[in-house]
Amino acid sequence: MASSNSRDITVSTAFLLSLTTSFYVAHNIYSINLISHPIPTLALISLVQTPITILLFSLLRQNPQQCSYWKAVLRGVLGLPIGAFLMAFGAIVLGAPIGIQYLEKTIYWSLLMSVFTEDAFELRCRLETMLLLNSEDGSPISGLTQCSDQIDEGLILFYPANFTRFGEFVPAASVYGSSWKDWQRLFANTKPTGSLEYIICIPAHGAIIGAWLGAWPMPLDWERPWQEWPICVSYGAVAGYTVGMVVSMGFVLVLGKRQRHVKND
Amino acid sequence: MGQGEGPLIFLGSMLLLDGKLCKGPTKGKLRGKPKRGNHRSHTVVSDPGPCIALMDVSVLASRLCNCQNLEDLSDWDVVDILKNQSGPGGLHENTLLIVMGDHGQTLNGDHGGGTSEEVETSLFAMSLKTPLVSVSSGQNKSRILDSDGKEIRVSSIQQLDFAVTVAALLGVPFPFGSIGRVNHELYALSAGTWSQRGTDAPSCKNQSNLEEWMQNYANVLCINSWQVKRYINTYSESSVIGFPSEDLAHLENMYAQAQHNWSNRVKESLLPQNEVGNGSCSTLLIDDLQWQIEAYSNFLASVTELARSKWTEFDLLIMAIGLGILLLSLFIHLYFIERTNNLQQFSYPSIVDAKISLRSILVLLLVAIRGCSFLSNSYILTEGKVANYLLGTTGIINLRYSVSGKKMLKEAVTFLLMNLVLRISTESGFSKQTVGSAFMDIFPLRFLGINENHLIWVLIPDVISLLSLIVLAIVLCKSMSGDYCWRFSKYLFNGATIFSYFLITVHWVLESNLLGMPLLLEGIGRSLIPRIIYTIGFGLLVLLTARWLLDKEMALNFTQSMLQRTVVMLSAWSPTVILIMGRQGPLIALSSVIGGWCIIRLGLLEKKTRDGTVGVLTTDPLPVVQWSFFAVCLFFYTGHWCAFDGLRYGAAFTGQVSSLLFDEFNLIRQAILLSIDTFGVSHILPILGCPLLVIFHYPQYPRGRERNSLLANLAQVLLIYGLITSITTTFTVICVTIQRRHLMVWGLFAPKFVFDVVGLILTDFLICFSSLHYFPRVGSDTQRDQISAK
Repeated sequence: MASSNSRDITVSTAFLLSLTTSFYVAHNIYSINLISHPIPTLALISLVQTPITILLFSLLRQNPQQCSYWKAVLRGVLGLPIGAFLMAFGAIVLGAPIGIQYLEKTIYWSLLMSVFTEDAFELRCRLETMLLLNSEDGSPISGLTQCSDQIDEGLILFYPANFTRFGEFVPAASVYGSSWKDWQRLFANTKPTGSLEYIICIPAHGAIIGAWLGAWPMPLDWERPWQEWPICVSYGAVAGYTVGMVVSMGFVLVLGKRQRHVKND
Repeated sequence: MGQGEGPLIFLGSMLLLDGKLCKGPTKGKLRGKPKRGNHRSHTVVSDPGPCIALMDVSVLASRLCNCQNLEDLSDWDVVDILKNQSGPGGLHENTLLIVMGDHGQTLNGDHGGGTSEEVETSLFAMSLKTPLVSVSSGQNKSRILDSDGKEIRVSSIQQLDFAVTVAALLGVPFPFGSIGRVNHELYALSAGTWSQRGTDAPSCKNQSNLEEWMQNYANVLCINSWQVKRYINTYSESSVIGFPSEDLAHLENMYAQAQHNWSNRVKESLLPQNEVGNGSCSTLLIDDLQWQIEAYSNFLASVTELARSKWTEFDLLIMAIGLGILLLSLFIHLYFIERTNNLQQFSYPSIVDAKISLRSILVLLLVAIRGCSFLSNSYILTEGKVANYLLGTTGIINLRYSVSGKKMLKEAVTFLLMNLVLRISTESGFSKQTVGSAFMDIFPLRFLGINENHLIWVLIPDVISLLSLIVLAIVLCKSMSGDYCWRFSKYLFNGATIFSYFLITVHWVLESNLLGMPLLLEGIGRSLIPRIIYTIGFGLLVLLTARWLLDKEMALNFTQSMLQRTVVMLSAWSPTVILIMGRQGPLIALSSVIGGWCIIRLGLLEKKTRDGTVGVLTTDPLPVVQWSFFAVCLFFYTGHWCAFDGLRYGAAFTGQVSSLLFDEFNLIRQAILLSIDTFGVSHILPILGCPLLVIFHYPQYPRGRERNSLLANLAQVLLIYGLITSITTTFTVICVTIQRRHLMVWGLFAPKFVFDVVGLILTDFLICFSSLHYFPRVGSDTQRDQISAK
């Protein structure tokens, strides 16, 4: 467990570092920023974040038997536009400007938001990871029952299927079906299980809440360039994501300590 | 800046040249820059030097107008340019330079507020000729040192006086509505204009110059006083609340005295000049003039003072009392909501949860955010967008709940989609134009080679409206198809409403003149049909009231009967509202039906996921808030906004043939039609439809306890709705109280205040009406509470 803790901390640090790097690169190498060049900057941040998110989370899965690396990557890549579409829909419902001139900005912004939140699409593999971690202490079955208390019924049906190697033949649609369940559990019920899920769940919520708050200065008559769509919303999202990441690191540390205490006892 | 002889001290945003205002430096440029000098209103009068002021002010070179910034003004050394050309026959021989700002600003760059920094501004006036020492050195001057260490005198004038003073300087008639007084210091800059005629007595030239100036000033004040008097008289006659009569009598007296003295003086002045005294520079005459000037000045000062006290000063005590009453009403609302809660708890002690749920906190937060947004003028301007944002947020919260409950995902998505469609149609000016052209704006079909004027595209809006009407009629029939105790009334109400829908269609066909009907027939159809529709609507309301009077007992299928009542009430209103709203009417009505249905269904979701038992919990506030926000959004979707030019005045004349329009104008009738258009979908229909939020939580045949619980829930829904409206109105009132001296008070805050207060009064009235209409006349304590609460 301690190793998984340090692993999670490393993951979140990597995300924060990559975020900082992308801002640094944008500012110092290309000398652009969100205010002067919103589209290239958003594209750059998305470009840096996307592969790191997808590759890192795909690597984290520990049973390549059930879910191959490339399958996870593929799922992540496919999940990206779906997440972007949902984000764009949400933004437009809330009042993002519609029009050809805003189209590109909205697309890049929603891609970025999708990167911040789409990690959950790869969760299926990670849940299996968790099961394996649990099986270190006992049998896989006990691990399964332990988890199933917190997981939806649909997943319980799905898990034995994985374990009986049906997972190999599960078509892409059902893969998404399972991801949907995870997504539902994490985002609708806010019930993260395990430290790694904290790292996904809290920053994603942070990004969304940050973006929501970031939209508030837009109608003010300050006539500042950063009040344009989607600059302040992006700033809000990035800030929310960062705060969420830091908070989730705190959670992971506390969780790890508690677990160690339990073990020692 | 601040040179000795021709001081030029000013920073501001307007240049006044030759009576024309031309935009000077941009506000953006000035913002954030530390202003030089302070922000008080200053008239800097030059120290004695070679200067003669002139009456006809010539146009200053246009490059002055083009100057980017007032600092450039000094860089170009305007004063030098003026001086160089100020000699006899020069271009600027008769130039008076006045530069002023329309407002000041705080160090943060804020402006428009009521603080002295924001209200006071600088004024620079320069004459190229010497002013009269004795006149220009008034009493209210302070001496300050300029950057060169040279002493300059600074004084202030009222902005009220500016217009008349400039009018006097230019020799144009005084503005009719101005009650200002010609300022003697500014006017003194014109001294010497008349000296060009020349006097022969060099020994007392200065003296006679002074006398001449005073004579002129007294003349100007005479006209000034006459104009102000005329305005005050006209105002007192035409105004509903004029000035108090004793004040008017006092003013009358002052004016008469001054006038009497003046006529005597004029008589004297008609006498031969030599009698006035050749050598001894007639000090008597100057004293006389001085007295005269003072008399007029006192009169004008009294008028200003009276007008200030009546027009611009707020009665802070009354304001505080009003605000206090509003705040008290909030607590009364809360108290009665709590009381109905307790009643519920009394009948179901085991099930009611006393805890404040997450949803209540969320709802309170949303309402508070909306309320707080009214404290800023930017958010008031974009109120529709803010309401849409908050409604969208509640939609997303609902989506989250429905995803977690794995139920009613369809409704949640429909709600968001409908919101989106309404928003797009509003933004593309749908309310102003027809539906078809609105879609044209979004999808420029010209690029696709489709002719916008093609018959199909012209017909699309009509077809959409017609389809919406048909769907509405079907929805009505479906909702009334339940089991009812009074079958006859059902067919009557349904039939009348659907007949009205049919008439609306006929009306539109006649209006668009598709069939090429004869003009006379068309005219009759166009004025007759709307009247029939209004009459049917009114008749249905009367019938409903009669039924309410007859219906003494609670029906066995109480829930159904309540549903029937609500639907009938809504359907009785709907044809009138749809007709008045015009072509967008059916679509808006259909959207509100869909939106309302989604809100009701999503409200059910929460009830069912929280526990299995039926309708015993306290009212869930989230659907009520959504209901309220949706109503606000509909106000903006229908093309209104909180300003008087946001009213759709055309709607007041629906059903009036244009040629007869002025013959038949009836203020009350037209006002009612306009109010129905303005508040129809945003106040009347939502509040009358409130029972729908409750009914579906209960079984068709409720037992006694459930029946009471339903009524208590309904009371709570109405109270919560009233509370939400009161909270937002309270914030508006607080905002107007704070910003009562703001620059935009008439343009923005006052209309918003009027709309919100009228909305609140209407809301409270409708809540009372609903309580009377929906609650059985013989009933439990709860409804008596409800009625007494109102």
